[in-house]
Amino acid sequence: MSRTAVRWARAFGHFWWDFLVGDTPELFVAILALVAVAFALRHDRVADVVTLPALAISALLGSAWRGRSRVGKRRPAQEG
Amino acid sequence: MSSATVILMLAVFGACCVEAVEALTIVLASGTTRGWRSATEGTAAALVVLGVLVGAVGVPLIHYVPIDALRVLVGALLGVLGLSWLRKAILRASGHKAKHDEDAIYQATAASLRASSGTRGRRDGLGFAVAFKGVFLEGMEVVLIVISLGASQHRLGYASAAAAAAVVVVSTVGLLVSRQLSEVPENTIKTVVGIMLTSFGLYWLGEGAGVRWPGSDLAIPVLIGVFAAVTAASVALLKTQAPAPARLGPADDGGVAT
Repeated sequence: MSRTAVRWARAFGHFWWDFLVGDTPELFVAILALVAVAFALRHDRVADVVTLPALAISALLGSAWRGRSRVGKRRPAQEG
Repeated sequence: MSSATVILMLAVFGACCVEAVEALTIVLASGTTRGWRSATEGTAAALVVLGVLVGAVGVPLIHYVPIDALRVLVGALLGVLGLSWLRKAILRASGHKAKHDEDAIYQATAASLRASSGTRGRRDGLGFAVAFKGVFLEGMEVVLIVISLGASQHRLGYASAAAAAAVVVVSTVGLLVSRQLSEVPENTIKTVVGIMLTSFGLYWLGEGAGVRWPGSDLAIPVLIGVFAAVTAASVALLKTQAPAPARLGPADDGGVAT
C-alpha cells in the first residue's frame, strides 16, 4: 500500500515537473517573473499593459532562439 | 455568449483536437495489435477518470478559491503551457525541429506491442494499459486547459462541452477512416492554440494581479494579434538559419507537454 502511494506520488511529481519545467526551465522562470512584475506594476496602467506582453514575448523569443538547431553543431537534445 | 467565451471554446476545442488525434494513434495501435475490447475499455476508463478529475478539481476551484488568486494561478499555468506550445510550433514551422509524425508513432507503438509477450485473449492487460495511459496522459493537458479556462471565466460547462465535442469529432473521423489521422495539420492547430493559451494566460494573470487591461475583455483579441505577429516574425527569422531537413531527427512527443 505504502509502496503504491510512493509510486503514485512520484508519478504525480514527475508529471508536474515535466509540465511546469521540463526542457524549458527558462519559460517557467519567465512566468514567475511575469507574476512578480504584474503585482509590482499593477497600479501603473501604462507600464503593466506594455511590460507584461513585452516580457512574455522576450521569453518566447529567447527560448525559441535557445532551442534552434545550429548548422555544424550538435542538435540540442530531443524535446517532447 | 461573449466573444471571450467563443474564443475560450475555440481554444479548448483546438487543444482537445490535437491531443485527441495523438491519443487516437495510440488507441488504434493498441486495438489493431492487442484487440479492440481491451483498447476500448482502456479508453473508456481513462475518459471516465478525466471527467471525474474535471468535476472534482474544477467545481471546488470555482466555488472555494478567491477569483483573483485563481486567475493568477490559471494564468501562470496557461502561460507555461501556451509559451511551450508556441516555442515548439515556431521551431517546427521554421525547420529546427522535426514535425510530429502520427504515422511513425503508430508504427513504433504497434511494433512494440506486437513484440510484447502476453495473452491476447478477450481481455488483454497490456492493450488496456497502453490505451488507458495514452488517453490519460494526452487528456491531462486538456483537463488542465478545461479547468484553467473554464474556472477563470466561470464557464466550466462551456469548456467541458467544447472538449467533449472535439473528442466526438476526432473519434468519429478516426472510426470512419479506421486509421490514425496523420493528415490533420497538427502544427498549425498547435500554433493557433498556443497563441490563444498564451494570450488568455497573460490576460488572466494580469487581471488576477490587479492589472486593468484597456478595453477589458477586448484586450484578449489584441493580445492574440500581437502573439500571432510575433510568431510569424519568429518563424520567418528562424527559417533563415534552419539546417538541412536531413539533419533533423524524428520528433519525440512522449510526455506531457506535447
